[in-house]
Amino acid sequence: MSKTSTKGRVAAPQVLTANDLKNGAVVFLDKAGGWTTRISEARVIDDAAEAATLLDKANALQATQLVGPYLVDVDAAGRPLHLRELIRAEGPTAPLFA
Amino acid sequence: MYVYDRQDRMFVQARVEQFRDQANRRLAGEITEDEFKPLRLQNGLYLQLHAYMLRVAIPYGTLNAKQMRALAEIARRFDRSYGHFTTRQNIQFNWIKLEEAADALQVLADADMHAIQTSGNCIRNVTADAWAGVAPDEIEDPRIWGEILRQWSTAHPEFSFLPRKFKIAVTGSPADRAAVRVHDVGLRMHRNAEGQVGFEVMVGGGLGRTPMIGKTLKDWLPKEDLLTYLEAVMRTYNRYGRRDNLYKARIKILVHEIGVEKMRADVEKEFAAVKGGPLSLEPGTIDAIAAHFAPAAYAPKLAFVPEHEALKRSNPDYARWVATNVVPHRQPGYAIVNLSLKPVGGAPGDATAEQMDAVADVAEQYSLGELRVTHTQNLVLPHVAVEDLRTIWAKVTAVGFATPNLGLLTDIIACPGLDFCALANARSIPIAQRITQRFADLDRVHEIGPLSLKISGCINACGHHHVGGIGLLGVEKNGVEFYQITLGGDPGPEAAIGQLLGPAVSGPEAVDAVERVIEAYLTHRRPGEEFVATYRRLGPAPFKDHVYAARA
Repeated sequence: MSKTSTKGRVAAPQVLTANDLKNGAVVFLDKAGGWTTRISEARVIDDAAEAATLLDKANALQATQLVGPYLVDVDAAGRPLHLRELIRAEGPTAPLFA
Repeated sequence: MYVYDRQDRMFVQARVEQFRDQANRRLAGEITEDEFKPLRLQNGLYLQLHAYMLRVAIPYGTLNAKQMRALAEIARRFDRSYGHFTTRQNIQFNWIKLEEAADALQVLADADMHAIQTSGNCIRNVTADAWAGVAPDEIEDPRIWGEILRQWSTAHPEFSFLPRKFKIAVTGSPADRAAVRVHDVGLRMHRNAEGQVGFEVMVGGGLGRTPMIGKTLKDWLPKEDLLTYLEAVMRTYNRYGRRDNLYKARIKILVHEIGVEKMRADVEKEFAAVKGGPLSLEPGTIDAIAAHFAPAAYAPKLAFVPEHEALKRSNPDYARWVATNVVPHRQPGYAIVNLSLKPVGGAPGDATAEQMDAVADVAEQYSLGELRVTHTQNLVLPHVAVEDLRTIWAKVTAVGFATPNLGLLTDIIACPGLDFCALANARSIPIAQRITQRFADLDRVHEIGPLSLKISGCINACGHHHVGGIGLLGVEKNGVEFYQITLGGDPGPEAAIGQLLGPAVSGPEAVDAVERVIEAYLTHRRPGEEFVATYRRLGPAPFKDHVYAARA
């Protein structure tokens, strides 16, 4: 999960993620305001206030479209900083499932 | 095996329709996720790291060929063509879609199966010895009692909202292949001084954050009192169990905090009030259930099959498979065939739809249509004629389930770990894969001998690491995976919780560390001494010295 500093600056860039209600797929908010299963197409958010606004909007989509939206810290290239989020974004790492 | 009656069928069919309606209302936005979540969980549908996961109950690990084909159909139609058999003798599907989940449940219901009580704070699917009814050392078939417990606990209103989940395991054999001492309630059938068969009732065992060995609450309980006594146990737990703290809510904490004597006194008081009541089991009731598990109609078969003996002499691979994965059966001329779901480089417990269909065919032709799931994440063909072993070997070799490693180092238990599980802190499957690759030489694995290696990706301990001869527990330190090593754990009659060896090792170091534990064992063991015995004799020092010397 993401942490924001008290001064309103984000500690790291973030992407907004959730699960698709219908099929459970991991999805990310994309640059056009839609939802994509590819983290490479995700919108990278640098501003804490904007992140909070986008999260509010995503929460409103929980009625019929999404489950559990939250923000994920990413590096400059848009890859999650935390291993859990990296595996969630890219799929199981075990060779059998690659 | 037990066959659903009309009432069972009506119940599971009705549940599918109820769930279909609930899922449709969720998809239409008529109910919120908060409202829907408990409903889907009551039907085994979790939301995991990547997708919805469906956990299907396989009561006491017994299923028929038709049911295995239903599981294959779910894997093929609704998932990515594979499933994961679990340490609770269940199966999980990792990629289910909510919009198709009711259809998957329908496939289950049509095969007399369901996913009820595979989640939530209720009495979960009852587990039992996977060799039930066929093991030569067995006193009585534990599945009769597993089924009685299933019928009693299913949708039981008083026990649907317990302080925490509740797991019961039953063994009818002194060897305890069901790990009964690490369950909330463990039942061990044995004879009293008069020769009557009854239950030792153990309570308060468990793994997870606070591992405990179950304590004997009653040495010998008559069969007819099983449900009344367990009702008294459940009622005592329901009344006094901690609901204020998730980590203290299991019955093991209650027993630990109040002591087994107080627990026994409270249970006996409640038992006295309900004993002889409507839950007392009449002989006719027990007999009716027992009839479902009556010994199979075995055709007479020769115990000595010259072609089988000849192939053992001429083909060392066959001889090794027979010696390792085939065990004696109570019926002369028959054998129990264990199918290893632990190939080199595989994910422990995983099976593809094709493999499930193939073993269903084999079971139908050669095992009276019956299969078992073991708590060590393998499958069993319980009724195989010795004269068919050569054919079975060829068939299960082709399926990929003939790795001769039952009970050996590479017969690894591993939870799904961080590759799939939303709770995990570290990965389990890739560690298991790397260990099986490092120890791919079967001669070496057989030289090491009986040894259980169990891996959990978090403290919830689904991989049973606490009771592994070698246990690995994945932890996270500053975003990096580390693995704690425990040694000396044992799930059997002399159950023991493994002891922490020393500082956790990193992911890249984990396989080397396991290898060094093995090296220390091989250096110090006495002839014929198994790993846990050597550990008990010597303690951790020689293992610790050898593992951590490499890091100094």
